[in-house]
Amino acid sequence: MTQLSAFKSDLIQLLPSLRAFARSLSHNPAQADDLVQDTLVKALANVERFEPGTNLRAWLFTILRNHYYSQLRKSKREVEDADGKFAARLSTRPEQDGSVDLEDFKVAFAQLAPDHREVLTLVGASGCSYEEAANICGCAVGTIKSRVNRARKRLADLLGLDEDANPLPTGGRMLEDTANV
Amino acid sequence: MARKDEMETLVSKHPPGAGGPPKTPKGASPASKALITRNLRLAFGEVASEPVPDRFLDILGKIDEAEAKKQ
Repeated sequence: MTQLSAFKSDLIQLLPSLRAFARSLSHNPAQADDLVQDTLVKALANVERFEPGTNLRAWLFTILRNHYYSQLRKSKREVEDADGKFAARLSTRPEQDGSVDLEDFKVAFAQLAPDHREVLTLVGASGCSYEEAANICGCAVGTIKSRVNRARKRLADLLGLDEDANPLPTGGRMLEDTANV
Repeated sequence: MARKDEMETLVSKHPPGAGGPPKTPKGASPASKALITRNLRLAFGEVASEPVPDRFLDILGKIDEAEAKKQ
């Protein structure tokens, strides 16, 4: 069954980004890896429902995401408490040159709502198209676009960016970087 | 579904109360967008470059077992 072997090798290739996606949803690395493990088990149990040639990454991300949200509903309070810990640690200002420390960035990112974290990760970090992200999140492309904009704005506010007292330079290179977000 | 309500909220008005009013009516500046994208990719890449735990590969090993049984 070469088809199944191909499925497996594709899965292995996607493991690192699946893990990173899980980590962006769940702050706790151990919990994130449990999410990945459950996702793999579900994927294998439903392997015949995956149509070869279609987007395996979107399929896996969707399984992981649905599993995350069903767990989130079960343990709402615990998650909120975890968020509180992150909130307490943020006391950050951008550098004079407008850059921010990656650790500060992660702390601010962790404060975002889960739906904001996920769209930023899908579109901003994983390189998903808006259509792919909409497919994964089960919503309209327009919703994804609005959500990405709101998430970026919220993150910029949390990081103290775009404040009048601290105008940021807008070099050509930086503008170029934003092309696919 | 809730998604539709949410979308209408996004389009028609700013969320009330929580988080306070936005500092500027528009989205993040181009420089901030670039900075956010850069840091997202760094953070994502950091996790993605970690070695994959064996337990994941063990789970995938079941595919081989299943195949062996079929043959």
